[in-house]
Amino acid sequence: MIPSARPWKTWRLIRRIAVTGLVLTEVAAAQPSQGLDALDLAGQQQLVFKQALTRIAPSVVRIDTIGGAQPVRRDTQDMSRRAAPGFRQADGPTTGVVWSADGYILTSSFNFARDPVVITVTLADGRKLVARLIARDRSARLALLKINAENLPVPARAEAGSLRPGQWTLAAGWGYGGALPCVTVGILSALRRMDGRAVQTDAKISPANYGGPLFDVEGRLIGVCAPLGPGEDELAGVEWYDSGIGFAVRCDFVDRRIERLKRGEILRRGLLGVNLDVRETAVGEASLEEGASGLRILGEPRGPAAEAGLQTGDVVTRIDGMPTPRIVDFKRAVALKAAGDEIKVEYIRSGDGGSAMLRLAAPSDFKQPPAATP
Amino acid sequence: MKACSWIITAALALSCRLSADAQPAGAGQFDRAIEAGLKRVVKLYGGGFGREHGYGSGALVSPDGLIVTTLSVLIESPALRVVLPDGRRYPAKIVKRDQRRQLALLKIEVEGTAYFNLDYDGRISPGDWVVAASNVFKVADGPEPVSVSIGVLAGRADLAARRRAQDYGYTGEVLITDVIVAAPGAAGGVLLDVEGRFVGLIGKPVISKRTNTWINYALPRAAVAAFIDETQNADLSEDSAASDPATASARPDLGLLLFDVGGRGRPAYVERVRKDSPAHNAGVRPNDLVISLAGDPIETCAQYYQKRDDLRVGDIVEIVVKRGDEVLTFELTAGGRKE
Repeated sequence: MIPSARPWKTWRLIRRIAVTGLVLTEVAAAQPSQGLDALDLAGQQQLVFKQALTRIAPSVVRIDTIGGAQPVRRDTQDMSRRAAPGFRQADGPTTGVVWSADGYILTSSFNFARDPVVITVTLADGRKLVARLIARDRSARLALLKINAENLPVPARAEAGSLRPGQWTLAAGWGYGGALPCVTVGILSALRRMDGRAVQTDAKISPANYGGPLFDVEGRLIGVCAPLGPGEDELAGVEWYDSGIGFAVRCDFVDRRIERLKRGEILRRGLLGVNLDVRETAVGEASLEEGASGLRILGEPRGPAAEAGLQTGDVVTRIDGMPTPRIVDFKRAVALKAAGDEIKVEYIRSGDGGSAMLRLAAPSDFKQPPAATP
Repeated sequence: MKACSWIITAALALSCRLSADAQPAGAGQFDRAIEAGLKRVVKLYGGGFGREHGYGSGALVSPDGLIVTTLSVLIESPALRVVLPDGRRYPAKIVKRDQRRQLALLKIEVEGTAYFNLDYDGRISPGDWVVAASNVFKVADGPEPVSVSIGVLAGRADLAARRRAQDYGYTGEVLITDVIVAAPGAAGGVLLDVEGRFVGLIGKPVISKRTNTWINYALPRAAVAAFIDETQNADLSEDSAASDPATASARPDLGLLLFDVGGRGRPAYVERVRKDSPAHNAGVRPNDLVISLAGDPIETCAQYYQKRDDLRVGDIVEIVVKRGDEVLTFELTAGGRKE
């Protein structure tokens, strides 16, 4: 009965406009038959969403886990212990993305917080295989699985430089079961969040698609959905599920980690062992006599920074060649590396420039928890 | 310049006028769906109890006052009343209930209202736009239009959910959406496609057992239509197979003995397979680890036994086992064993 209401509806609109007066008629004339065009637009949009899903679907795998216990709060020595209060891990299926044709599956470590005994991966073609959990990246809530398979369909990538806020993004996941992964749609909200590790989207991200792909309307991979709360607890961030604030770890970030993950290393957040003067960053930049800008070290450096000879009052100007005028720049530069990676620190001390190579430490390497800045 | 601002003012006046009448007409892609929803979704008020809210939504499904909604404490109130989109209030009575589908049909004495046609057999697939219309959080009052939101159909899956500590009764396939509809008052509202056609009825807020999160779902049109078409009150409908005297006394059996030495969380390793039993004939072997039975994951011996006991003699089910690095799926027919 609703379709048949269409001409009648249009006629009533015309009649209303006619009686409302000349000015309104002009407006209507400026928007001829917009209702029909708008409906066509909606139809085209949903067609595009479905095509995007079809394109990426071969690379979206279903993960099932058997066994394991509810995670207990880890003594991570950072601020994460109060994260995700009360959330209990469920035992339904989860999601992963084919990362390479030779059997590497990238997913979220959220899905393995229970340390399951058995992990199986079901490919889009229906093959079900036992998977090995190779490594976790605790700082980005990622996990790498390996299955014995060849010629897996690797998804096309959305070029990092082409991403822009406002573009359509879609996420897919197996969390609710069913014969096909469920899809959610939204827009890209921000390009760099969580120290640059992730993009932000308002597509609904939840345990139903953690580990699954965030992709564009061409079906190209933007990143891997993950809960990204503060700290390194695997469940931190789940409290934001389905809120319109969701994250996907960027592909270009994964590229920097993937070789270490393939070697089976557990990656932790990397720390220098310095406290930085945040006051000066609050107004933008810390100005120096030389015209350069950077972040002043407060208090006694510890760990790697102390070993490398950094001193109280040194002004850090660059990390790995990237200028660090503000704390956000510093955090992003450090976040690209993990504990165990080498990092180059350039600084100014009493007007003279200097530099040092140091190896980043993990949070657990410090007896006392370091301050909030890395 | 002046003419330009004139037109903008006029356009604003037009849009204000349209929205004030709750009859948008042809400006945006979702107008038709929104108009259909606003004319056909009613507000329900009744009795709250404990954490059950005393308000909800319903969908008009006939011109003479039939309204479909979800089962709830709300509708059991003797003071149950319905507020139509134009603000008219009516007392309502329950025509029938369906525990299995968790649906109820209400009746008010009215003629000539707009209503949803559930005969339409349209297809909607994941990625298609949907518009949700409901009086979520009872934000709308009296003649105020109910709330609308847009999103997409996320997919379809059987509902494995719980409500508070209890398993939720509806277990059939539902529509999943990325519109947030798992909220107080939304149940009984509708999901529509962009043309304004009825796609599903928003269900009660429940937590998915697969994710431990609120799941945003709707009961599919076909299930709602089947409920309305059933002439008899489905309250007392019994599961026919369970009451079949031929099988009632037989316990389901697959022929597996598990390596179960007690204790919680013991994985379901197969100790022995009885000769000529269903499992034996299917190919299950000792030392296999049972990881799934009849579509549900099995993590422990206890889960295996419980799932097995839920089977009915003659059911054809899939059993998935891990053998070394292989995952093997077998199909078998549940046998029976007399008590």
